[in-house]
Amino acid sequence: MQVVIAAVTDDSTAPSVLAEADRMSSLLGARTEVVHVEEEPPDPRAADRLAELGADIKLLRDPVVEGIVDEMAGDGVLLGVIGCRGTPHRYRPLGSVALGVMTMTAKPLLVVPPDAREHPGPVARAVVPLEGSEVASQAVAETVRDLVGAQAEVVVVHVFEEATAPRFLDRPEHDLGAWADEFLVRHVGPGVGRLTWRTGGTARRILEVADEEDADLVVLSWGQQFTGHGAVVSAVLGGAAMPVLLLPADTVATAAAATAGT
Amino acid sequence: MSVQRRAGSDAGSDGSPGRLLSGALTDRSFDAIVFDWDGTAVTDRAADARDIRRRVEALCDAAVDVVVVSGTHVGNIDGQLAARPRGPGRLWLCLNRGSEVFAVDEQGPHLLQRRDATAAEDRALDRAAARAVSRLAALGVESQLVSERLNRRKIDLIPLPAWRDPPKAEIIELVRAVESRLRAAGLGGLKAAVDLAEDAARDEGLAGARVSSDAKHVEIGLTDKSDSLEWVRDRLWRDGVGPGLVLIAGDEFGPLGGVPGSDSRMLLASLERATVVSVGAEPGGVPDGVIQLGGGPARFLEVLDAQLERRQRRCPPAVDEDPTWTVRLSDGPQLERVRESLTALANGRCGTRGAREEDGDTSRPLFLVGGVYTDGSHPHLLAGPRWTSLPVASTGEAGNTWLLDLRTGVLAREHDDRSLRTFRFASAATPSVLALRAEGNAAILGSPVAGGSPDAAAEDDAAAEEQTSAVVGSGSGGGICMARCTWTSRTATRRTVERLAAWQGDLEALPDQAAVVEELGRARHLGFGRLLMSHRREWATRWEHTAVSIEGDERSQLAVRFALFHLLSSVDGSDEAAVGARGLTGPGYGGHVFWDAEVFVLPALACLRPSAARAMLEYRVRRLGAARAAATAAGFRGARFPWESAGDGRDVTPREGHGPGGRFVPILTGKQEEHITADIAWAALAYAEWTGDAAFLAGPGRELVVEAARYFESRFALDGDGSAHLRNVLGPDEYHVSVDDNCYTNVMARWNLRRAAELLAGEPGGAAEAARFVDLAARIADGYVPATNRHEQFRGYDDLEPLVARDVATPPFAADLLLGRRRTAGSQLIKQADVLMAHRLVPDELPAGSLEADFEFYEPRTVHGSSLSPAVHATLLARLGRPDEALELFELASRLDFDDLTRTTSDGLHLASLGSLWQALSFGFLGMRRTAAGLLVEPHLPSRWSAVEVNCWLRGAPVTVRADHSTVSITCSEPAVIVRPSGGTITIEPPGAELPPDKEA
Repeated sequence: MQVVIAAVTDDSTAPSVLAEADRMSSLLGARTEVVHVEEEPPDPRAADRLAELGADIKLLRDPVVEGIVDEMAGDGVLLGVIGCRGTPHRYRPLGSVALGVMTMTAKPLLVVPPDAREHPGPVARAVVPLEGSEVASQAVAETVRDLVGAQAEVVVVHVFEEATAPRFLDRPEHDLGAWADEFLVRHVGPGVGRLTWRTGGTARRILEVADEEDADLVVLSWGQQFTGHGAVVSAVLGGAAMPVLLLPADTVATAAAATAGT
Repeated sequence: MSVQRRAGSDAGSDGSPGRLLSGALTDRSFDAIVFDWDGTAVTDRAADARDIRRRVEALCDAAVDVVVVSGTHVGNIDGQLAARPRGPGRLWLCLNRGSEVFAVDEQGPHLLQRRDATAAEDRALDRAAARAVSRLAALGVESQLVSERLNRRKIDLIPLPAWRDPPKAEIIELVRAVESRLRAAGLGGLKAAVDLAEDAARDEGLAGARVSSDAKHVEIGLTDKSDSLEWVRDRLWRDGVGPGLVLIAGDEFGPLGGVPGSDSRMLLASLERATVVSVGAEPGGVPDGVIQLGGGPARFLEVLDAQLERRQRRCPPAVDEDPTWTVRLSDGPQLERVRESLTALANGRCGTRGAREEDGDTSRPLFLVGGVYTDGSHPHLLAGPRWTSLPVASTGEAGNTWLLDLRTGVLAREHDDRSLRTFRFASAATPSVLALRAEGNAAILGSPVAGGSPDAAAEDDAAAEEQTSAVVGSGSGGGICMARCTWTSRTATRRTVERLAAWQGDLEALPDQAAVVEELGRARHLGFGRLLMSHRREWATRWEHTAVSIEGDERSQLAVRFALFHLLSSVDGSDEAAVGARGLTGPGYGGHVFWDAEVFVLPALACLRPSAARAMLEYRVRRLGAARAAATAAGFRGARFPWESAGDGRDVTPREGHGPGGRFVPILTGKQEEHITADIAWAALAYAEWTGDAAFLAGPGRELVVEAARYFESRFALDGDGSAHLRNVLGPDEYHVSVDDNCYTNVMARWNLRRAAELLAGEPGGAAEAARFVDLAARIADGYVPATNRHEQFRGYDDLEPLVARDVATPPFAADLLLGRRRTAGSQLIKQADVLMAHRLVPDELPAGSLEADFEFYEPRTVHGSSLSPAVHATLLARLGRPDEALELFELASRLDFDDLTRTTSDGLHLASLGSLWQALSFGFLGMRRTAAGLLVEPHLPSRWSAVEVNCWLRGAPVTVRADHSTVSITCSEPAVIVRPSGGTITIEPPGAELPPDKEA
């Protein structure tokens, strides 16, 4: 059976990481495996806190990042789930572990903020920002299909940028609807999801839509670099009030597509 | 003239009868078959020709044109062939080695054309032949002048009893004997004899003499088979049959004794795309590209049988793949719906998107009827019954190629592995008829006929037929009714399908289904072949007086032809025409009619198809009542036309919609784009000026112009200083809403008032109103600032944030998408030509020299965020004498739909952009402008172009304007008054002339 790895820490984020991992397992028809990286020397109180989760926990050894990445690289592992430790403010710079894992792993990674809103039950509504590049769209395609298959509502959000915006917009009241239909067909498939769009700062608008839609998941393609689109990913991770699923895209292809303005 | 042809096939050079023909002959349908007679169709002049006669008549029955090309006379050919075809295919006899053409019907042959030599030419031919005989004799070669045929003289090089009448089968022996005889006399061979005859002809003043040889004879003539083929080429072209649809057959293409075979004269460079086969022995081989079949007349009969079989199986016709007239598009799931728009077929009354026959979830198949809308407050063009769907198993995401033939209005599809081919058209000759054929592997192309369908278990050639009908109601009593008949047959491995459909649509009443079924019956009686012939002929006729050519830039030329194709497809020139912003190519804008129709499409059609432009105006004329009601409801007089309209002429502009920021925003275009009322008046007069339609101008045209002026008279408000203002309006630059005194709107209204005054002034009781209009026009504020010699776009515009486009991004870009609506509205960035649009439409309303100042100011501020914008600027740049800069914008406009730059081409083509592309070419680069004195032509060609030629209609007569970098030529059928840039005029008499230098310029 396929596996979702929940990498928990011995703090207050652990229950939500585990809960989100279970949700993803349910979505993907997988089972959840919980891992924890012991610090050196081990903290005896940590074991007690982890025991409260009521889950079998596989203990890993330092170094933390490599330990989690190695575990995620295993056969049958679909994705990892990790807490996003940071300051409990509106904007939370990512912790070093999350940063390390997301840049090293080749597998999808769900990053769970410490104060994630509770959304019991399966994923009900996912916001999927798409820039309109083929690479980014391909990266999220399978997940979008899984979400739709699980009856989740998929809200695609596109923020107009110079490289990806239509060069002409004759009559917004007519054209944007037509553009949106075509965008969905091209980038997520016919009859899948609905599209909303924004102008202005990309990350800010994505977070705005995610909040307005009361989304319980944001799905982002991720080129594993913090430049260009990666800066948007970073900002969304820092500001999202809900888990963010990062789907690695082909970085070389992403760069080429960005250069071509596709 | 001989020509290097494309690489040929080696199919069957062994001459064995019954050998399978190559795919080039069995997989392709030819619409015209041209063949040599003696040696190709028959073994000799005494042979029984019943087999060929039967096939020729059957081919004509099947809508194939058949042409016999021979050196002999009609008595010989008709006496032997004796075919009496009933049509629709024509039988032509091109005889006497290029000097005569006969058409043959059930009554027999009728002379169509004869080249009559002058007495001087006849004497020269006699002298040349005698001189040749004499020179041969001087060398010791006995030859004999054996006949004096029409326009030629025939010299027998071997007048010996043993070679009196050698059969074709002995050609090799004949050549050997003649060469031996000539060489014995010290002559180099047959080639030397031909050279000798050419010299003799030249010495007698026949420099252009055609000298040929069939080995036994050498002939000196005024014409040869190349003249026949030129006639055939031109005749077929006028009927929409291009060279790629022609099969040429002969038996002597290769050299004989070093002399090109007589049939090589049929290899014209301009017929390069034709398929050429030789059934002769061809001892010297065949030229490149000629398929050598061998086998003589028996093999030729096989070739004809293969063509007849294709017609019996109703296989899809071919497309003439002329790269200057065809658009080739490939698969691509991302651009599926874009391709469907690009390849939409319309006939002015209905339109069908180029959806693949299997439809699919990324496809948007759609059948629309012009002017038939749904009911309700948000009407849109009604989606009619689909007629192109077939049970096609997936051919995968790649491998399909679509060919849109602009010249004949057909769409063909072919899979790389030939597992599927389809062909369709919306009849231009009979707009209520649609036709489709398909051919494919039985595993790919299923049976579209329910029940009784032939299947694998059935015998070969099993066929089935089904007739169905469907009605779609509009919700307001109107609707679209369609009846269709589908025929299918299959062999063990292949299936073919033919579908004919007839339709009727009506906005107000549901069409009579029985009448549609009757229409289908008539179409079936005519048959696919005859329908296709008339369809192609109609398109060829349209192009005859509308074609454009751009020498030195095939890409731009194809783009303009593509634009013209869709413009001409959008309106059929009868009744009225509601031309939506996407025409009949897609559902975009619900098919609503905007100013796009009058300002961007109509001017092109007024020059290209005046009846179509008139039908567009009739749409407005019939909705004058609604426009008057709208004016009254708003508290004004006259007629106020809607920004968006559909069936009944009400304003159907949405009141709110999603804005660039994704939020619902109010839509003010319907309330504020007042200029459309003047735009329609402008279009009415532009039409009248180009066509000279006095009846329209005196009647409905006058009503449009005067009623529009009355609206503006009541709409303008006078200030205390007596100046007139139009407040709370929206100009073409839609980034700035609710402005006062938009320059474009006010200038157009002023122009409208003045033209209306001119119309009223001569009418009883009209003088007072005319005087009021003139007075008001003089008071209108237009933003002109004498100190700068430019216009302020609207009051307060100059105080806005002074952004220029390149501060934000490289144009074109949609500023509202990048900056948001509010920021954009607070800046001087403009969406499209506004002040400059006034210069474009009514240049005489603006002060001299202000175009330059306005252009310098507004061009940097224009982001070209509207698809209407680039070609307008291109037109003005060309007029300003900056054609190379203009070309950049022209090319941008030409790629707008091809490259899906709006990302909405999937919703249909941008018809206004297509119209303005033609306008940029004609009104910009060629500098054509209709003035009171005549046609002004002031070209400014880009350096990359060597010449431009535009065909159009001017005051009821066809005119061709051609310009290169130094000359202008006019071709006309009626005297044409041409206005020179310096202001003088010159009258060009038919058939036309090159204009002398404009010395005063």
